[in-house]
Amino acid sequence: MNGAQIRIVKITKNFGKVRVIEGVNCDIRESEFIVILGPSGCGKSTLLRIIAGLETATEGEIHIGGKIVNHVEPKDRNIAMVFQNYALYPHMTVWNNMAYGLKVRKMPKAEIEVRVKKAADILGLDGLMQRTPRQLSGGQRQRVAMGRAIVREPAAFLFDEPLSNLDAKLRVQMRLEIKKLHQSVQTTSIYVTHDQVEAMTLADRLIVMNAGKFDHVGTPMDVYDRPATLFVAGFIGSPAMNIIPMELASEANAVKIPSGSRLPLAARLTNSKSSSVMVGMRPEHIMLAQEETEAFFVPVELVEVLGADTLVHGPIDGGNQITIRLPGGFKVNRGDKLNLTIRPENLHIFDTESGMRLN
Amino acid sequence: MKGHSLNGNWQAHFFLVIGVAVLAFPVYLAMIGSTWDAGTIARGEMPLFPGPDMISNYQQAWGSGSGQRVMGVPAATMMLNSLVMALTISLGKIAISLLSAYAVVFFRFPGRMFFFWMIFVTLMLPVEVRIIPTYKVVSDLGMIDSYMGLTIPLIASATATLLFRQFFLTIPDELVEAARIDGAGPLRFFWDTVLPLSRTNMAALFVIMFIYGWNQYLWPLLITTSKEMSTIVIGIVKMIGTGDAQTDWQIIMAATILAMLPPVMIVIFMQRWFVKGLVDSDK
Repeated sequence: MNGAQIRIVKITKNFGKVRVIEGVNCDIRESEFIVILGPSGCGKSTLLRIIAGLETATEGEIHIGGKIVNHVEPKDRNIAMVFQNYALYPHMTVWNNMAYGLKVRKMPKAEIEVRVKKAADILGLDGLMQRTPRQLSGGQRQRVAMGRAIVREPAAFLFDEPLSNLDAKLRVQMRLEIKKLHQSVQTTSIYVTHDQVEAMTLADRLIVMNAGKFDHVGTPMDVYDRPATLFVAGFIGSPAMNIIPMELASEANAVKIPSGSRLPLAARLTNSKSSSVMVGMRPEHIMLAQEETEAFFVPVELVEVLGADTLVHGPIDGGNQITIRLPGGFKVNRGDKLNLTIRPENLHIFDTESGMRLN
Repeated sequence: MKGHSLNGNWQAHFFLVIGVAVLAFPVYLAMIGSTWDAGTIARGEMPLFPGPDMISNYQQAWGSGSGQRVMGVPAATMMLNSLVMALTISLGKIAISLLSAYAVVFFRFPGRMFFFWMIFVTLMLPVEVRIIPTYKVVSDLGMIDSYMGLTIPLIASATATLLFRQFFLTIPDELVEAARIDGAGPLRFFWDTVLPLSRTNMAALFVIMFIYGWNQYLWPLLITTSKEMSTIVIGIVKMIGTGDAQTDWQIIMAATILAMLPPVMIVIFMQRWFVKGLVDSDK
């Protein structure tokens, strides 16, 4: 049971006159774990519900396992969904919750027994089978919800923000369990979340969605290293990337901070329509400078000590506010002046108008 | 009870006892009245302690009845009529309202809100207002003096529909969607999920509607003409003699006490159900 390919072809969705999804495309491979990440209201849950068949697309096609399923009922799409609020049947025992979908499909009793037992083993639900959902903790409920999906042995799992109702510690633990689960059953999975840590850790490929469009589709490292748009750059990474408007130097081989400091580029930038660009620098890529490499300075206004890291906030060359991430234990005080630099390959250049990546 | 001052308890109990006494005294009088012979009450003496004729009075009330207008119809028959009426009305109301609320909440069909408001509007028309047209319809259908005539016009219930609608609205959309993905169709979802979740609401409504059905007065009075179809509430009124006929108060009292028993039993028996429902919420 390795799941099926899923193709999203030019899917558009309007709610009345409001367009929430604007013609998105994606081919999802067998066994792939895809995470759709975006802020609330970007259309990610709607897209998942269109794939599940709970919502109809205004335009476009969904293919599951090579077949167009636009007019196929959710139950016949061979998918299983895990909901944010678990959606367990409150009056049924754990066992019945997991077996219900199989019973409805008139599967033989013996086969149901085997499948439920197997899923309970995978998820560690053995001792809880006769309890009702209200006698379970949040994490256990979510596990039952996953069990209900597993026993179906579907072509794909759809997760709709499954961990957002759990507390932080449990979320980390369940995240690992979902990852392990996927490694053992290898079913194609689509996972919707607004939590970038979940997205980065779980995804084989990541789709960053913004205002109904796919801004970036790629591996987590690709999204982190080369964000395709200004939105993706600001959305991925914590603390967020520093984004500063700068001027392109006349030979297009460097950018200039408004105060005049020059940051050399790795390669000449030939595709910019305008001389003003947006430059992104990740807080963790800004380094303390040696005398000869100094590029700019930051007067320290605020220090946050996190233990493993020390975050420093201050205006770059006395202008725009930036955040710098320095190693834990680094001694710095308010009022100090830090001389800093950044490697050319760690500069992200975006078009001011369109927000598209230029370098 | 722990944490309450003795004084506070005394005061609370004092007022509770007075309240109970005020409410229970007429019932007690009826009970006492049903244990004396006809002469004692007719003379205007109203004893406060049980008399010797309890068994014979109840035997007569249960077995052969009293009073000129319903002479010969025993309380047993009339109580059976009442029971059939109350059960049919309460179960019918629950069934019909469950289904109509299910349709209004879970399905999108043209005119959905129109139908919902139509149901709602009937709330504003009590039985008394529409009794003449209803009577006409029932009599044209030939249902006078039948159980059907007694019960069918009272089965539709806007109140119960609204109650179930409010409850259904609290069932999360995700649960409906999970059922769709699990492959349960609308009827299956109704039967496997909505009904079990509505158990406690159904129990509470059953109690209310049973008592409503049992205590119906005006409608059975209009729709039944033969003595054998009288309900117990009508029967008790008819036992009271008019003109120079003698009124057997002791039999009336016995019949009254008998008439009280089924609703009381329903409340006592069903109480366990909806207290259970209140304590462990299913959602």
